[in-house]
This record gives sequence, C-alpha cells and structure tokens, in this order.
Amino acid sequence: MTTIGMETQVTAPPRRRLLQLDAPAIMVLPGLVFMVVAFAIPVLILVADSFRDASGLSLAGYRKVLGDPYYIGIIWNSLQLGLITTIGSLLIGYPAAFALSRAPARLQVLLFALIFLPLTVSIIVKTFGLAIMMRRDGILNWLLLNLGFIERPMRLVFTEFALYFGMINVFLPLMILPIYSVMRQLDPRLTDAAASLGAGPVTTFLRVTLPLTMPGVVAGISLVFSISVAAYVTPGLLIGDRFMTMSQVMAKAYLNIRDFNLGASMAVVMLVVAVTIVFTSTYFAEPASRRGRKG
Amino acid sequence: MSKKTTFSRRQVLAGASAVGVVGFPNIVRAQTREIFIGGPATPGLTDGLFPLIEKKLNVKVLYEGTNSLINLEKIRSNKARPTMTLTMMDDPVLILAEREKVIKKLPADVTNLADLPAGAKPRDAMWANWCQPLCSFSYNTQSLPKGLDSYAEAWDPKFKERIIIISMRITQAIAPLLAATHHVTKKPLDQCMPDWQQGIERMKQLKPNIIQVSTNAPQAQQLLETGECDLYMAPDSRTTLQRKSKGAPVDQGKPKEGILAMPAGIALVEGGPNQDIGIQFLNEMLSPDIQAYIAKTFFSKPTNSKTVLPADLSFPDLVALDWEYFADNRNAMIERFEREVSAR
Repeated sequence: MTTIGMETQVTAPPRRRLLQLDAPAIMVLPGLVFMVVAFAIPVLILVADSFRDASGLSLAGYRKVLGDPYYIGIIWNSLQLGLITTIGSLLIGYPAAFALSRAPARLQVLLFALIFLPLTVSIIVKTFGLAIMMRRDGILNWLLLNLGFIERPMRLVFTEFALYFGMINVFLPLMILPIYSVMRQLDPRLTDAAASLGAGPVTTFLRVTLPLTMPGVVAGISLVFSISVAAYVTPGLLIGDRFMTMSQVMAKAYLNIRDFNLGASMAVVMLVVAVTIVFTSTYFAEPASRRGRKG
Repeated sequence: MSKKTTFSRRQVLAGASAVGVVGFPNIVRAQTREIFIGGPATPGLTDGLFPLIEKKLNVKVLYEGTNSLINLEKIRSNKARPTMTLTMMDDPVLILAEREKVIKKLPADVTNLADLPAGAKPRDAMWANWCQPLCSFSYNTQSLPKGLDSYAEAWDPKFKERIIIISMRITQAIAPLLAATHHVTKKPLDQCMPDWQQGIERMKQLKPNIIQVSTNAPQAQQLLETGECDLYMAPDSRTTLQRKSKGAPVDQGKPKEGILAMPAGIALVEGGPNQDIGIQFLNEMLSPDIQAYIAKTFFSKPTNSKTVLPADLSFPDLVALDWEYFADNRNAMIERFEREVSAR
C-alpha cells in the first residue's frame, strides 16, 4: 500500500492586534499627546474649578461674571477689542496679501521681510516702542504737527486709539499669512475669464476673488480674533487698568485676590466666546466659499 | 563562544560619575553654596547689593524679581517642595505668608536682629525689615520745579490727564488712598486705614486727572521722566531717588500730610533649601555696613540702629501703618478701587 503524502497548507489565523495604527496616525500621535497634556487636561481642570469654590460645588463664579454689570462690561471690552482688531487687521491685511501674492519675486521678498520681521521682535519690546512713538514728543505727534493736522501735541498714550493701533500692528501678520497662502494658489486666469465675460472689477472681486479666498479670510479671522480677545500684555501696556479685559480679571483673580473660582469662570467664558466666534465665522464663510468654487 | 565585555577603570569612573549626576542630582546640588531668593524687581539688588554679600559669604544668589503677591503665589505653589530659601516681600504680604505657614521664625543665629527696633522685626521676628523706603508721590521736576506741598493739590484741574496712579494691586497704592481718606476725615495718616472707604469716594473725584492706573512701574516711571505726566502716585524712594541720582528729572514728594514707611521685609521660607546659607545672608543684610550701603543705594531708611549714615544722607520721620488691617482688607480695597477709580 502506498501512502500518498498529502501536502496540506495550514495558514495561521491572523494575529490579533490590540491597536493598529497607520502611518498618518503615528505621525499625529506626538502632537495629540502634547495637546492633551498641555491643553485638554488644563482646560478640564479649569472648567472643574469654575464649578467649585471653598464651600464645594458652586455657580457663584458664573453668577458674578455673567450677572454683574461690571464684569459684563469687561467681557464687552474684550469682545470689542477682539472685533475691532480683527476688522482692522482684515481691512489692511487683505489688500496687503493681494499685493504680496501678485508682486514680482524680488519685491515679494522685500514685502515679506517688512510684514514678518516684526514677528521676530518680542511683543513687550514692540509695545513699549509703540508707547514711546505715541508720546507727546513721539514721532506720531511730530508727524501730525508737521503735516498741519494738529496745532499742538495731543495725548495719544493710554487712549483707545493707541490700544487699537497697537493691537492691529501686533496682529496684522497673523491675518496676512493665511490669506496670502490661499491667494497665491488662486489661478489668475479665473479673473481674466470673469472680465472676458463682462464682469467689472468689483463684480469680479465679489463673485470670484473674495469667495475663493474665503478659507484664508476665515483662518485669519479665527487666528486674530481668538488671540486678540485674550490679549494681556499689549492692552496692559497701552491702556492699563482703565480698559479692563477678561485676561486682566483672570490675572487679578489668580495672582492678586486668589479667587480661583472667579478666574476659572472668566476663563471658561472667554473660551466659549472665542470658540463661538470662530465656529460662527467658519459657518457663514463656507457657503460663500462654495459659491466661489461653483461660480 | 560568548564574547565578554570588559570595562577599563576610566570607563567605570566615568560611568559612576554619570550615574551620580543623573541619578542623584539632589546630592550634587546640596553641595553648592547657592540660594534662590524671590523679591521685588528693584534696580540695584542683583547689580549692587547681592554681589557684595555673595563675595563676602562666598555664595551664589539666584534671584527672581516680581511683585510681592506674585512672589507669595509662587511660594504657595511650591509649598510641598520649596525652592526658595529667602523671600523679600512687603509686610502686608508677609503677614499672609505667616498665616499660611510658608515662612518660619528667624532663629537666634541672625545676631544682628538684636540691633533692630521691635517695629523692624514684626511678630516676634517672623521676619525682619531690611529697609524702610519712603513712600509718597514722585513728580517731574521740569514741569513742577517746586513739587507739591500737599497731596490735596493733585485734585486741582490743572493736572487734568497728568497723573499716573499705581494700581491697588501694588502695596504702594495705599499712599494716595490714605491721603484721600485724610482729606475727608482730617485724621492723621496712621489712623486713616479703617476709613479707607471714604478715601475711595474722594479718589473718584481725581478721575479726570488720572491718565492711567498702572501695574507696570517701569513704564510709569519712564512716562514721568519724559514729561508725559507730572505726577506718579506712588512709587517709593527706591525707584524715584535712585533715578534722581542718575540725573532723571524726578523727585520724591514731601507732602505735609506725611511720608509713609514702606516696610521691606526679608524672611526664611519654611523648608527651603540651604537654610544655613540663608541665615548667614539675612544676617549680613542687617549688618551695619550693609545697611549703610542699602541706605545710600536704595535711598531707604536703614533699620539697624548701629548704622552710620554718610554726612550728606538723612531721612525724615516716617508714618508707620497697621499692615495687618491692610492685609485683611486688601481684596476689598482692590475690588472697590478697580470698579470705581480705575474704570473709565
């Protein structure tokens, strides 16, 4: 009897893996871990602190922040600061980004240096410089006097004008950069096509250029608003305690009067305000951007 | 056949050193004559006073300058494992530090304590005052060559938008508040503290003259020196007279209501490292020769009774305050001041 050896091919069952990560997931991991440790956990602690005081669970911090006209005024100050800085930066930054994206290569290098070199200077040094510039014997008063706009030096330091001027100066590059990055990808033939179809410059801008650059505008608005609404150093140096902001209340609560509940409640309100504005602007900007892509 | 790894004597020694440095940093650190001090950001400390003592005691001082309340917050945060050996703060903040048991009573080893009056070693020597700066107001000598005789003149409309007030978060802000209280109550400055609420009402009338309420002393000082404002209420002599000595057009006001003594204290942090060096350092700060140096450099009244002052240096009588009351009521003062005086 002959036995025919049968060659059976036994395949091992697939090994069970607890966690399968592809390359992009692995690459995002360090950033994710960092953000959890440096942002998510502190925010959770902050939120927890906002709901408790020395006696236990409490809404006293929120009652104070949202029920006291003094603190509501401070929230409004911060909102106003964020909105005016954002609008001012957008009005100056958009045309600047447009010019930058259309400039010849050599000029572009120079313009880039002019716009982004200030970012390398410490915000404290820059703000001190602005305060010196706005003194009665500063360059701004000198300019206004010599151009005949004013007869005697006027007070500029510690005014709201100085505050907004300084804030826009500090945050302008953060508006220009995202708009520029979208604008430089814009095909110039699209505007030529719109013109050849009879659209004037304003119609071309409103129906083609603006909608297509909306993602950059939204990114710029989100960036500038969320940072400026929480600004601490620049308002502190340019206008001081006479224009209290949410950040100043938080600093006072934590460092001076040790009312952690108040500080945490104000921080949560600030977070909610910033996130709401950012999401709302994205929500309204998205349809415009879609229209641009379709058009 | 397995390959054996052998180590030379040099490799073993290098490895042991590396383990020592990495694994036992506390042992390595403990051997250095180094102390960490937290205190005010007063010019002249790290670039004058400390190097003198460092040289004398052969120690290295690591220093961080900020305001007293922030300094206290740092000590509280590190209470379980203190990093500071000594802290230099105002008396009202040291009172809070004592209540929270983050500072300890000065030991008998601080022999110079014997030459300090009782008022300069408060609460049975929980801390010592290393100097008493003069606190009133500072003025620009170009716009006000004669200065002011009284705080009351600051309310004059001619000073519209010409005055910087220091924030109530800074201890020196008590000077204009007590002066305002004095104008209402007519009581001597040292008895005005309990009536501070009346002072707030009077301070509200000063608002048209206030250009800024500042927590940033260097910026306020710079604006005073450049003539952007005429009066700055109220830095102390450590800043004003030091700047005057360097040629800045500023001077310290000597109002008829009185000049306050800002008690600048120094204390041992409970459980802080290198306490023995801290005690030596503190004792040196209170010695007559260092006290004379402090008086000359910081234009502040020395506290050691054996200090010999130079012939051209003298100090007026100063008004001492009840800092315990201030410590207990400070938060209420900050709150009312910011709502009613600072706000637009």
